[in-house]
Amino acid sequence: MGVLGLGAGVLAVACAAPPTPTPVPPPKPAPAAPTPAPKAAAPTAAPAAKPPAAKEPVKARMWVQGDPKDPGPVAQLRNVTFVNEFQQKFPNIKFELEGVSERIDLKLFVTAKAGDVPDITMYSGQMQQNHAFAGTLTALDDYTKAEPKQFIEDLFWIETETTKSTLDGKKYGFLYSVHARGMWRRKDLIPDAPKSWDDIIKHGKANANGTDKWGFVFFGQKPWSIEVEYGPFVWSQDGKLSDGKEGRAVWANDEVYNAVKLHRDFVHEHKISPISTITAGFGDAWKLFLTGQVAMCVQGTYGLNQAKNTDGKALWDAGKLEFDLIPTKDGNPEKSSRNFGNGWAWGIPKGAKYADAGWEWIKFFSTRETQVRWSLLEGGLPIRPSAWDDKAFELPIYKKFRQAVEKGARPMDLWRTYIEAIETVGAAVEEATLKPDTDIKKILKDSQDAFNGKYFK
Amino acid sequence: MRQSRALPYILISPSLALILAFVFYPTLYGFQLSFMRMIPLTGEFEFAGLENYSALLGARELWESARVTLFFGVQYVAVVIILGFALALIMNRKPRAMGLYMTLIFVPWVLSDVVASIIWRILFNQQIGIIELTMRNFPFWPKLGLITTPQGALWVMVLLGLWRGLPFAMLLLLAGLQTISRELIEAARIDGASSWRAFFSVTLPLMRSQALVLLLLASIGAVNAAATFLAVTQGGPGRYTEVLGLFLYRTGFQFFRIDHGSTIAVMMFLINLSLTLVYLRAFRSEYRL
Repeated sequence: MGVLGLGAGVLAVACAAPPTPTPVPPPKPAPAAPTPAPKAAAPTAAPAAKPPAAKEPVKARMWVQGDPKDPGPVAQLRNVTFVNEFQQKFPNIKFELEGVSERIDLKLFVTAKAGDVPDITMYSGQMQQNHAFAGTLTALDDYTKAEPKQFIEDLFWIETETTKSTLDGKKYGFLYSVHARGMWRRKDLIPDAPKSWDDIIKHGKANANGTDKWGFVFFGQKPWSIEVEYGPFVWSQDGKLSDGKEGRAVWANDEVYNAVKLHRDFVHEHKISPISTITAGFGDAWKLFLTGQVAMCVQGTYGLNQAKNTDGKALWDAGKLEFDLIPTKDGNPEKSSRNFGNGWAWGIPKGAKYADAGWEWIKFFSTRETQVRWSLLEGGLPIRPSAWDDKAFELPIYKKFRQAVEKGARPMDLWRTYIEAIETVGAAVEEATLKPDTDIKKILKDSQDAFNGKYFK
Repeated sequence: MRQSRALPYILISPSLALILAFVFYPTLYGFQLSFMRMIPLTGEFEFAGLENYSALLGARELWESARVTLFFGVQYVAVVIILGFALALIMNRKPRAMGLYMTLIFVPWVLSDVVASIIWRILFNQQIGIIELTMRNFPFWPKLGLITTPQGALWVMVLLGLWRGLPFAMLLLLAGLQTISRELIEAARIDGASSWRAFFSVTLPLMRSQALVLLLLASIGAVNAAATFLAVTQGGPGRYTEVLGLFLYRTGFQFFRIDHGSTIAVMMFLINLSLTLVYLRAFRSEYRL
């Protein structure tokens, strides 16, 4: 009965899937390197509020991650404060919030096929390609054309690249904040920013005692380790994980090998990282750093709030925390450093009943004013360069954050099946780093061939 | 008379309707989907015959998951039956404070999978886990932590399974022990049998029914295990603790390969069915009228 129940669960999901959308053309290549962000335009005035198409009351559905009644300050700001402010501005639009568990994208894939979609939804920016492939979102180009030019120009490159489909060049969403990554370090232990991989090893050895003090700790648990940790070390060598056209895995290459070997050597050869870091979850590694046991850690810009207010408060108040670009193999991070740029996004599902209401919400959330308030609380960064002029971002660390966004942030390689791809390579990387004598190249090749064998005959 | 004959069927028809709608229909649909190919993320299906079975049987991940499940299953089933018997024999003697012991023994059983898993993760945490930090003083314990090594992680999951499964095993076997007449044991003793001989020759044969039920339930539970693995190790390190249930979950719900997920579900069903038939045949004397 247990098996039947499990099968019933899988199949209940499948039951929601009606057949036959039109086949999707193969994806266009993703850009190979980031183009510099557009010069910050004058502060974006809130685009003229377009009245809703009809004045009759509109009860629109909004999907949000988690519980809409979550009392936490971030959720309250989004779900209550901003919604109320919006509804005051648009009295005929009322949003009905529906909470969705973390796999909001999966629910969107399923319900889009069933035709039961909300009018506005959050989705994972890095799943943009999959949404475009699956046809779950409405292209926003017709909406954006009606807005002032600045509305689109005053966006960071990474925002546009993340919410644009590489299949047809159209924009399908707006990030509601930008997340970039970099190397956090203890300034008191490492006064100068490490620039190269050798620097990480050198400073790591100087700060590790092999028992409770470590030089470098990383978030190694699959699959998200590929985004946050390993991807940047690959991309900074101009390496690839996919072919960028069809989503074919190409991760059995020298750049990935170098990145994996580097991390394996951190643990087994140089002993600057504990073995537990290979399977360390998202919060585990960061917590070790904030509680003073580690000298360096790659983490997002969103780590600032946690550093300032909770676990890292003592270190932050003592001025001991710093953030820089992730070091590169060639020692030239200003030129070569890359990091994973992403964020949660707002999109209008295809077939939404009140798409106009969804668009008004997107505009509201992407204004400079809303972006400043949201970013400061949520910990992400504003999507508009103009928002950075606000006094709230005067702290020197924000200049470093902006550098990470403008100089190195990039989206993940193109995948048709995003989660499966990074899960597959993530498992291979975990296996390859577990022991000091693993055949990294063979492990990567086997997993690459297994993945491609499923989708490319 | 007709009305009284129809009445039972009328009374069970709501439950039957629910079972048909939410168990049998999805199950049959699942069988159907296992013969269909799904274009990723599109929801479009087309008939594929045995392609899914062929693809999965040729996939290294499936065999690795099967191997992990087999290792976990054998260790778990063997130990839970042996320890279950031991505990049941102890409790059958009605020791002092038996009520307290029973309460303590049953605590892990009443916890949900997630709560139990979180507790286990903390107990074996590298930095703060009380079991990890205590056992690290012993020479046989891996210096860098049990849960980070492939074999160690699997043994941690076996221990978690035992911690949670032992109470029910004990209860089932204790119920069986309590149905055995003491006179039979006494008669054996009078005839010169030692305690061990009495156990193996009298008690154990009379416990075959309970042992069969426990064997079946423990085996099926081991094959279907997924939630605790997801919560504790997430199938890691690498894929060293990715049991079949977790492989199914990942394939169907994370990768959204409904076709492959359904196929794995059918395979697991067939494994459980085969185990059931093997056990029933081995214990068939219990079921002869």
